[in-house]
Amino acid sequence: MTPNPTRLVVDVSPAVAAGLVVARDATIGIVSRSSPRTLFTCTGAITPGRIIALVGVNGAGKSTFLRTLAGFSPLVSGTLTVGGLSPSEYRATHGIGILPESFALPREATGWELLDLSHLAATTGGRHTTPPSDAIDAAIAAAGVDFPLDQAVHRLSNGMRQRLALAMALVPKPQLVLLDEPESGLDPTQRVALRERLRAMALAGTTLIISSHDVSGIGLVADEMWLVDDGRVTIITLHGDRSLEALYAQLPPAWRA
Amino acid sequence: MTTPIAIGTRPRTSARAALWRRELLALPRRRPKLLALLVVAGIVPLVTALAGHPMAAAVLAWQVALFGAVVLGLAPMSGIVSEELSRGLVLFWAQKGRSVRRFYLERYLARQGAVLGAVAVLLALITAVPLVGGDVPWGTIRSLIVVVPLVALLLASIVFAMSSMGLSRDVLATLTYLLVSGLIAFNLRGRAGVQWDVARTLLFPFDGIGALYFGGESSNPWRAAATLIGQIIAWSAIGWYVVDRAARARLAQGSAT
Repeated sequence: MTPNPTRLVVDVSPAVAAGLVVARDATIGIVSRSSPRTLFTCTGAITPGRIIALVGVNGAGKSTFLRTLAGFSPLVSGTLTVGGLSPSEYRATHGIGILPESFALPREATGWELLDLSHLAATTGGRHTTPPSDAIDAAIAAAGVDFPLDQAVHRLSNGMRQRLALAMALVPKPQLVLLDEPESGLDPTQRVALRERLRAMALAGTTLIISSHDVSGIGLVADEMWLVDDGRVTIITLHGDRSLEALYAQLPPAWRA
Repeated sequence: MTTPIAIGTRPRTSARAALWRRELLALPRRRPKLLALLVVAGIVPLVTALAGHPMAAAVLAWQVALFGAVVLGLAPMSGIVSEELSRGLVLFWAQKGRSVRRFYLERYLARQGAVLGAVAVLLALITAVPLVGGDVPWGTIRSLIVVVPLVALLLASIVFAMSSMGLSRDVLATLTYLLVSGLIAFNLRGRAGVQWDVARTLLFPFDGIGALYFGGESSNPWRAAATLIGQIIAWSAIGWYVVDRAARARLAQGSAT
């Protein structure tokens, strides 16, 4: 009999303390006077260079978790740190790459302009007297941009725009990158290419947290899957065999369907 | 520094230069038809004067100046913040650093430069009208050279403030403010007292503009100019202050709407 690979994390193990992202009884939800909502509570740690697939049904709180991790939304209770700092402090000082689920790049802008703006936004206060070659070159390479960046956005396909946006997210040279449904709108070939790029980024030491409601997609590239379901997070460590069969074998019964 | 592969050649400019170029060219790139209409409108008085209708040319020149001041005040600045909030672009600008204020302030200043540049072209065309036989007194030309840039800059600063509040219909909000200001100012005519003076300073300075152009309001053009400049500074400060709050609110909401 195969041991049940699921593990509901309720304690703080030594690994938790060593993580880039550390959550201790972190309750994620909507903090508002009119309609506050608690979505889920989690405890766990994410070590550098890992790919975490944050999986759950629509409305489970995946995007809210990413916003909380980026320091845009407050935590309801518990603690959540990134690099030992609050998420907003970490973002302010180190930068966090963010690829939102839906966005619309300005039609008339060129890729170079958007990358330059990303660079300037991430480094306001600098003198910026020379072309920002290093940061942008690295971002272009990591995002797999292989199309002319001097053409306007409206001439780019969806896949090209997605890669350009990923490059924009990588311009601040972040060690932590949050991607919200990055495969939406991409064809199967582009999805496979994106997964390869994400794997390469992780190998280079970048920590990636990827939200998706498609287990079979991003699950194939992840090291760990955080299943958000019914207010709880089940953490599954995914091992070597990256086939769909192996992935499904590790999922809780309810998720195999 | 160039990147000579399929991605095209990067412009030899710094990120700051790229930002200024993008904002300075905002009007021709975002509203080319409107710019073409303005150019044509600016040429019409010249052609009318050349055709031997000096009085008609003078009337047209005055109308084009008024039209240009309003259009150049409203159009270039429209959506500078609100459009990027709704498109989810602000998520890319907030990946590092504590605030997007400085980033948007720099872009605002660059776009005000674009407004001034477009106004200068328009005024150059109008100044040429008396040179080709139009019946426009040089006193009127001098008044227009003072009034048109100030009105355009003031309208642009109001649109910036409205846009920074996250109002997607920032131009409509500005026009509503002008209408309400006009109605209130009309009702306040003849009322003396400190409270009415304070109320007048909050309204769009129709009286000040009239004083600058016609030389009225106790013949104190310096005071009228100071009122306009004060309002430009005040609206710019409002925009600068509220942009961070609107961005935070938007970032806490998530993806593009």
